[in-house]
Amino acid sequence: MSVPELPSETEVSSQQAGPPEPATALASAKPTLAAIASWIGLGALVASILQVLFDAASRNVIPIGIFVALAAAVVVIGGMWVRAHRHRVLPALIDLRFGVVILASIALATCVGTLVVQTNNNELFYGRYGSIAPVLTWLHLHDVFHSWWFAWLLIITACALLASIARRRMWRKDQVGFLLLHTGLLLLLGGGLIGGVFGSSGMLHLQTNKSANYFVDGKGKKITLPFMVRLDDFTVERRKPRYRLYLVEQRGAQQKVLASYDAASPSRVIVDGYGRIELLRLSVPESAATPKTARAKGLWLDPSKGKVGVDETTQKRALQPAVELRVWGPNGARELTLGGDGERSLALGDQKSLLFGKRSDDVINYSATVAILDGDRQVLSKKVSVNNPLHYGGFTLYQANFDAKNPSYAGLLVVSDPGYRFVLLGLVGLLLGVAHLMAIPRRRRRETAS
Amino acid sequence: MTDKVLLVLAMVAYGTAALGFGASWRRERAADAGSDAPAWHRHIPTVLFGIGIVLVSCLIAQRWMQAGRPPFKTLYESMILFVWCASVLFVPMRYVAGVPLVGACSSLLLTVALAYAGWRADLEIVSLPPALQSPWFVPHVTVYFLGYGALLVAMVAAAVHLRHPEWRVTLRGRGQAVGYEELMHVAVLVGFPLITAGLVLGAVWAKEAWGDYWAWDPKESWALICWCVYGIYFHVRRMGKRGRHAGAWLVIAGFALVLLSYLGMGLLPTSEGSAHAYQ
Repeated sequence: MSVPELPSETEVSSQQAGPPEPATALASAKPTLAAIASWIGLGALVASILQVLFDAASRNVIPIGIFVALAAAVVVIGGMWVRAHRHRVLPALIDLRFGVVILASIALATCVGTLVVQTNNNELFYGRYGSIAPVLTWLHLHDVFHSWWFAWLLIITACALLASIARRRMWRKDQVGFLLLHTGLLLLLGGGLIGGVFGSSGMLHLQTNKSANYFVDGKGKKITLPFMVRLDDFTVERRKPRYRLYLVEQRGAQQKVLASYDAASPSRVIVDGYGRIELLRLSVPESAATPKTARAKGLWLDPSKGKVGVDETTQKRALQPAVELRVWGPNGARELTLGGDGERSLALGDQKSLLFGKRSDDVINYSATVAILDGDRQVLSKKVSVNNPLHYGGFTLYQANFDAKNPSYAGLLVVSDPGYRFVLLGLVGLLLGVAHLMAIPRRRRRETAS
Repeated sequence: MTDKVLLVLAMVAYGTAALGFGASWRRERAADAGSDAPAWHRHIPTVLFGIGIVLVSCLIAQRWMQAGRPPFKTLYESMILFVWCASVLFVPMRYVAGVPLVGACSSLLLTVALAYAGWRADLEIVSLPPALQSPWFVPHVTVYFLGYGALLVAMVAAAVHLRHPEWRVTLRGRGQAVGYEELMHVAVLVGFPLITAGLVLGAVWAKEAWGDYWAWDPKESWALICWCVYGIYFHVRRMGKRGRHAGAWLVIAGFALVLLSYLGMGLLPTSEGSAHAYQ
């Protein structure tokens, strides 16, 4: 088929762009891909060495003065190098190849951060990685995302974004998408930096009717709040218990669930090659049916058995739900009960068994009713739950922890992040920029066709 | 109709659509060589594909009613959603560009996806944990899977381009012929904003639920890696003809990483503490 081909994006862009971009005037000064990669790699290595020295200085292994002198020397030498090579460095920052290398570096670093277990627990890390653990630690691969070399990658990303916005005339009408996208990314990095430097977060542990005006951050530092927080109530909202019969197979120390049946569906016939098992009925005592009620009534809720009185046997059995089954074997059918005060499992042979149990996904939500006090005056009261935090005085309180054995306890996560509004702005810019970029080729195609 | 029956019927519909698209593509190639190609060969696979979409829609709707929540939580449910999203995104491409070859490959992959979903079917319908009971849940997941669907189509177009860079398709209504690389680029231009939107929605939701918009969770990290690879693609594609060729490889690699971030998180040593480990 002989058909005219659409001009490529670069061709269209060069036709529409008018005067050449400033970068093209310095095309001969552009460094190679290998040179860009080696600059970035060298910078990362220097950042890593500086972090090792800083760690050593903070543990008093070397005097802090040595670290400061070396860091100052690195900054001065680096500055002189950039100044001497500015005719190559600045064009390189806005080069597409620089974008490729920096994105690839971030992707690679992030990948490493998910392949190596990230922990500051030396015992755990050395136990897992053995003899290579010191090398990994030296390279800060145990905490990639807080390493200085990763910060270096983000810093030069920000420099490249700034240079691109300034030198590629992104404020032109046809460059709106690029401008929004690159500015959005810059705002994201800036917001993250502001949040990291000026923000704080930590846990506030409270008991019902107790108050506190501080929280403890990740380093164990106590941070005072400009207001008092009181826990008025804490509730765990649960679903009505649902009981299941699980067909499980023992595989070494572990059990694998092969099938799951609703125990509340009577007359259900289960056939799985282990004989025929008929589910007759599920009996749930009132105390188990209403999980918040702690007192057992001691009654079977099974009118067919006519047991409405309270005697010692039923009281004992009534504390636990039970399921009645009819099992067909070589000698005919027999009825048996799983649960109650008896066995909860039925061995089927061949490492397989039928287990009776309650589903574990019964929690609907955790809610802490929290009051904010300014002196003795209550200024705010709100039910804080997952996905429903409380914002007050530059801080946000999240429902983050609970104790099943202590229902009057709530763990609140307190966060102050002054950079978040920049991050939010950056996210919006990123989204709009990318959406605009999607619209450009369609417009170009229309223009080309016309 | 039970889930299993609907799933098998959908697999049959997509499988036969794949065969139909394959036959349609062969006929179109023959038509280019001078022989006649009947019009029906274009419609039958499209109808079968449409039946597949309807069946998967029914599967999702039925599951939604049974579970009493959006059925996007488990691997099985999300795989069904992925098939639906990829199918829905393929429809306009089919209408505008025809592309029976892309249709054949996509239908085949969607059949495999449905078979995988059937193999990993849930033992029981699970409830949503508190963190997932949010208005952000449906848009975050849906937008991501629509993006994955577009990137699947892009990957298929990229593979065709790399094998036969000279092949072209004529766009309906415009009479223009474009290469598969151009089709791939359009699909990436649809998919990339969608995965960006998924990332943004996820960040805003994470801030509301966990207090931090970015926690370097393995799933988040791999979503970023995928985003970076498609970002590299956009940079590389502007580097002329060789860049376009490399871009096609990047689109294939990008989709492989998307699959890894979707299905392979359990393989990572860091996945134990993941806040996204719901399956």
